[in-house]
Amino acid sequence: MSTKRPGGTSFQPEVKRKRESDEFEQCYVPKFEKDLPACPKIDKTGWARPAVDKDLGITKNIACQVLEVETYHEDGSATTYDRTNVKLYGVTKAGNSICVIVTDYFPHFYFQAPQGFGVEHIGVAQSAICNMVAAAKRRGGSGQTQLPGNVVDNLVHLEIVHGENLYYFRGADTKVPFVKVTGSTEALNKARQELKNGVNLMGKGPVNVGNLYESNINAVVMFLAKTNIVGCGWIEIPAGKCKMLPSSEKSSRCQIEVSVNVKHLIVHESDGEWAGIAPIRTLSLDIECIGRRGVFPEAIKDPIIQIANLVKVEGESEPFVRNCFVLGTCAHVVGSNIIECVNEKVLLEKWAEFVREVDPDIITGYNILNFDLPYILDRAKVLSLPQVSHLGRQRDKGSVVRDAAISSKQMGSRVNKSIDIHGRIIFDVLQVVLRDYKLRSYTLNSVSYQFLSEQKEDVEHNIIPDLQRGDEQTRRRLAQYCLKDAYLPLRLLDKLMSIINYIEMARVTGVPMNFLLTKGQQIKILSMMLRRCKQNNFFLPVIEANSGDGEGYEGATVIDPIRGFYNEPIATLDFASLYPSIMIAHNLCYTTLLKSPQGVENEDYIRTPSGQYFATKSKRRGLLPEILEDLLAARKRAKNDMKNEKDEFKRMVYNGRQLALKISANSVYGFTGATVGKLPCLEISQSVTAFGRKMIDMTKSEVERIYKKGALDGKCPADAKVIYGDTDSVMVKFGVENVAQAMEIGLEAAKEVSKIFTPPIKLEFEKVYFPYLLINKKRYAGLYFTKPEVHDKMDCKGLETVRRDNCPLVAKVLGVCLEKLLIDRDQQSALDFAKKTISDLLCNKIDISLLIISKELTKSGDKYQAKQAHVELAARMKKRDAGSAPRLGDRVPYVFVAAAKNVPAYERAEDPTFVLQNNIPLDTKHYLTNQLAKPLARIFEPILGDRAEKILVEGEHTRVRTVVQSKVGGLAAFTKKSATCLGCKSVLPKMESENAVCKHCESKLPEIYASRLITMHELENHFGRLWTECQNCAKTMQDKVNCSARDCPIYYMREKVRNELSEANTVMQRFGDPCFAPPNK
Amino acid sequence: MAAPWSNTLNYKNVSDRYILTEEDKKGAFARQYFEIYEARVKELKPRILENAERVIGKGKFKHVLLSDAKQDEEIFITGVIVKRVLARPSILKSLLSEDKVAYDDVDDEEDDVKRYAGSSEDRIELESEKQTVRLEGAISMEDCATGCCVGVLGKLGKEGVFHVSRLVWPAANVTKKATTEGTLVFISGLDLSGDTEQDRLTISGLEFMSDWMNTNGEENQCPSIDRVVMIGPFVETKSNGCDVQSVVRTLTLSRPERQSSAKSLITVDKLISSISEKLLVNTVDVTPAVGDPCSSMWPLPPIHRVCLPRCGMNEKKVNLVTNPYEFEVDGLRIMTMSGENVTELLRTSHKWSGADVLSNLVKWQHIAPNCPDTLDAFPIADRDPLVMSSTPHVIICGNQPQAEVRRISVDGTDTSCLLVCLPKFSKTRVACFLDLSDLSLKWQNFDHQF
Repeated sequence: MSTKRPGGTSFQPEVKRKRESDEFEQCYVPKFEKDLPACPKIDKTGWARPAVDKDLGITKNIACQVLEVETYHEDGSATTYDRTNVKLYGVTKAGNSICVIVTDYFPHFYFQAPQGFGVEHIGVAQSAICNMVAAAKRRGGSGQTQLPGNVVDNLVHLEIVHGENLYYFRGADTKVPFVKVTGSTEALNKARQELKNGVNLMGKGPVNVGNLYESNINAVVMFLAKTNIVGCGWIEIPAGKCKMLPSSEKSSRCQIEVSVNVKHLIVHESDGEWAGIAPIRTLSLDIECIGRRGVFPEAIKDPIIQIANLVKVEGESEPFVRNCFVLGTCAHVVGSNIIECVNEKVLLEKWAEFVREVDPDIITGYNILNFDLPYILDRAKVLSLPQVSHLGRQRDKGSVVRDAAISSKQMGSRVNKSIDIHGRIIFDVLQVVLRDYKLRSYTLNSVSYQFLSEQKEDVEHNIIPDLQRGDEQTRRRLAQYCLKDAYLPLRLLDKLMSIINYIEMARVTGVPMNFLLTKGQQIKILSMMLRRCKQNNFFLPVIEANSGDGEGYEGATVIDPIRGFYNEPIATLDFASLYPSIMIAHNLCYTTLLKSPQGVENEDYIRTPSGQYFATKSKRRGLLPEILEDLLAARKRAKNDMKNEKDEFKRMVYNGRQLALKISANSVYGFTGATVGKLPCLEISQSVTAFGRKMIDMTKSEVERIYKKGALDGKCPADAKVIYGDTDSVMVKFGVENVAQAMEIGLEAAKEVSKIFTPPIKLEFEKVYFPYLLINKKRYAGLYFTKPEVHDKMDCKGLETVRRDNCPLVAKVLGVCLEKLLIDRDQQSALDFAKKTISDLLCNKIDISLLIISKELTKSGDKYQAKQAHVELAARMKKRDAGSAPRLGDRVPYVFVAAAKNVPAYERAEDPTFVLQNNIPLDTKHYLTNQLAKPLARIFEPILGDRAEKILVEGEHTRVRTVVQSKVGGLAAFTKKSATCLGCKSVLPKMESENAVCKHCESKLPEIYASRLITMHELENHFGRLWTECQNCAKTMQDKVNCSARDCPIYYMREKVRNELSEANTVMQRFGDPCFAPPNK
Repeated sequence: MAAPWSNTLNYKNVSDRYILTEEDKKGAFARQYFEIYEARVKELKPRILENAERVIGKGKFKHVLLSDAKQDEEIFITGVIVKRVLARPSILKSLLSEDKVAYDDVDDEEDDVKRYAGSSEDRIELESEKQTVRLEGAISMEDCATGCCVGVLGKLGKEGVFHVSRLVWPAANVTKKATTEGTLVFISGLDLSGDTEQDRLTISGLEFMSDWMNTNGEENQCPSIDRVVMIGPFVETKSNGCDVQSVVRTLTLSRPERQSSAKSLITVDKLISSISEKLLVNTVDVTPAVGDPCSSMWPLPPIHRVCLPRCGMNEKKVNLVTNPYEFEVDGLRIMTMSGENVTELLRTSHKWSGADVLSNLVKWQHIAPNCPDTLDAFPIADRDPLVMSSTPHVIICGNQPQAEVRRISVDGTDTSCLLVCLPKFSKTRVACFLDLSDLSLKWQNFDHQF
């Protein structure tokens, strides 16, 4: 049977395939026709939104928060013409969903008016373009071969406006005539094509208009910028000036649908009354599907068996709807509504009805974007249920899944699915966490553990079919997992304040909220630029992206570190918002960039350290500096508001805002440097970094010049020395004894040295490190003080404590060593600890869970270029047992096991569970040399010098090693076990093989027993604690724990202790019955 | 030489249920703990229903499964209590905050038990037939403990909250109390470290006691002693039956090296055998506590004979028994326990004293409901040995912070039960003399001042 994967984006299941899937369903999914009615009875209390106020739009203005924006095309007719309208989806203060149709908005682009083009040419030019577009339209065969004359004549409109190219300073007020072309998006696209080839604009033959302006900008962003609406901001529709649509005419499923002319829209700033958030409904969902053995569920074959849903109103603590659509009978779950469905078709249809009825604004869950939602939509296709794909607010449009590649500097490139559920935002918690946090593992389990210190029971996919095929109790268990999986994302969103932070980010930057999750950083800056340019009549030229290797430029500077362990306070001077303040101070902008110097240097223009010329403030204030000033000022305000705000929820809103502002301000620089971006300007980014480098050097020399021995009335005991500097900070050794002194001089120095820089560039003094371990460039650790009394935290940069490709042991050992070095200031005990850990490692005393490395299996073996450990292992595991082997997309945990010398590393990887079961010896040497040695040596080098690694790897403590005997492979099959004395390990003669010890050791029996007991007690204690912990985590006392969360710190320990304890117990049995009565022999 | 005291009392060891059977041991460590709870419910549910018929009235309550419960209907459900206490030690939480927590050693030199801080998020849940509801109403943290089996009368409210109007505990079984004569002596917690200086007071106190038991002169008030019951721990131990930190330490690489108890065992061996040789003493029962040379999972098996070779020469007089230890003398049923169960329960409430906990144990009809939750338990299937099959007449609990005595009447019966909290000998040098004729107690101090 061929199991070809559906190819790419749109797959149409063949009829033959469908039959196969039916067969499959028959044998694997039990039928419930006998037990359940064809249509489930559903309790719908609480689903519907509150009723709509009838006066809205007639006598009362309608205010709503805009959540989603989309544009759509409306074909012209004999009376109207083609237009592009905009739909705004939002929520009113009362919690009603609303769809606002904005009419009479026309997208536009510009081109510079050709020489001699005047008002008189507009008529000719317009009809020329209209005709060409109409021709193109007909050629394109869009169905309308007969375009009404009215439509043809109004495809585009032309207008002369005065403006200026954003790039380059050409002298103050050099606005020139531009032609603004407006029309429907479709017409504009065609017009753009035609203009490229030249159009007879002035009746004198084709004219090439050269570069176009603003024709390549996202329509939604353009609309928002033009109308001044910001994402998640409030708008108001005045009563009487709009048309309320009756339900028969509605195009959407919103409670209110209203159409309004763009000029009547009232837009509010997100402040004061309008800073609030509407009662947004969030739906969190999770699906379970039944997979065949060893295969990851495929939508083409494997049915969905459960969908759990929780619905919550933003700002409230608990969800008001909890339900689970279940295939088959299922016992009741107290506190939740179980909806038993007779088959998958009913399940999906009822679920889709539920979504439409409850009408959520935000749909969330864990990995719903790439799994749950596409799976549901694919299943709907396979089962031919068109209604199920109608999840959005658009009546006539189903949702479709597409692949969308996103690549950004911050995130790297990846391919996500893109699903348009019209009018609702898909807010996948996994995407949020991936964007905002750097973690070891991104499973729901480990993310919840990190942020909620709570875990869920992680059920292996293999168990799901058994639970589904069981009875109503086992399906109930499954429903509980499913509900929990839907609940955790909601908890995470609450805890991380993600929705609020994203709303604030949308308001600050002006883009709709879903753009923040689906697009990179650039769109945000572009949106801000557009708004600013509009005010000042600057037009953004279309710049062909020249991908590939553009000219690189020098990055930030690093002052070579003077490595060492500094057991004295090291003061840190930071430039606050370095890059933004450089751009403000030196007026660096597209609009101030000069092609060649004009006028007097430093008065009319400046020359940057990288050799570019920019006009000074007196000539023209740049746009970027203005944007940045606003951002920084707004951030200051938000920080202030946060300080004064008593209400916890509002404080979070302000905190979200100030963070959004900070991130936005810092990404402006990156925006100018992105060569594949919309508005690259390397002159700016080169200059910024050049200034940065210069400033770091200036700071160094200035600090070392001023703070010589005896400076500051003798407060400086020695010459100040800059020991390290990086991007925006310098570390200074003032030679003082305590933190308080360092702080005093540091404050003074920040104030003094700031004077040499152009404001607002300012040096700030924030922290003192004491002690400070400077390992190398970008690698250091120190105890972080902001007040003289106690340290705030231990700060580690670039060390393996946070890296993900190591085993946890490395991070743990480094953490403890650094703690001992920095907090206890005890070098010897740090070294002793490192040595002890190494000797423990070599003696096999380290718990296996600390040695596990895990990597994601992203593609199958032959697609990787080089052989990789986890891929090879996955293939081997598949041979062993296809059912439990990791599948594509799973994380593969592995450890390195001992093998012959020339066996390559990738063949030495082994499944930790297999290792535990078979007592396979670990390759402790590999862990020592390849994992531990380098990072440890690095932190000890400043103390021990270059011998560090040698001391650690070859010292006295590495002499004792323990070798474990494997139960499988190699010689294991040939060894015969014979009883040995538990005291001296000598082989017992056959006669005495029942005894615990040999004759010679009999006198030492109590000792031998007691020493065996130490391990026994520890194992027993671990067994008891670990298994009850799991029971508590699974929140059930009376049900089996099914969890197989491989990234849980106690999973392997728990499995290991089982084996070890039963072995230890068998050994203890050899001592015989504990009581005195029948004496032995 | 005077004739040794002869056995006048009719002794019967009734601790069979605490001994692990072959069935129990087979594949034990492949089991999970839910099987214990399952067995517990199976054993206690009929007894709860029996009691419900007695206290509420037959036919006056509707016993249904929680899953069939309708909102706002008065029903009776049975299940297991789970106290969700925020401060309960958790490996996962400790691991997360490992850098902040300096491991607090559980056993520092404090006399009182460290109690968990309460939290507003603490709540009581009932797990019944695989459904879980939150309990509110006529139930407080002091009424129950995690692992108790209980019946609740009440109504199911919204969002999975159950409003309790009445609690019903399992019916108690008692045997008829007999009267007899004689004296039993109980001591607990020698905690010998093997370090002579540290153990000086304990050893001299014990020698003082055994001397006193030896002389049968007229100036001596020592009665003839039928049995001396010595409750562990005999060797000093850092373990308390639920040491979460040990796991955390292993995972955070800060595992300390453990000392073998071999040295202190020699002293223990000597002391026990010397007491057993005394004229006035008939038999010495040796029952272990967690940390003694035997398995540390409740119920504890006897201390292994290989550790007490000297006692082995006197094997008729030294009796190695389980913990808990239950025996009958002339029909009087006596139970001793090493006290970890009670100490762990004390942590969960700020109001309880040791005797409160003991009387609760009788009410709950379970010796250690917190086992396996906060007390390491041997994973047994199909039976729960710690259910009180029969309520003893006397319960002696060792290793308690304060000495306490309380006489309670056993609910639903006409018998009473004597509850005794026995402090550690290593701290107080106190032994407890129980006069069987009137069940009166005498605390005897053996502090030996040099």
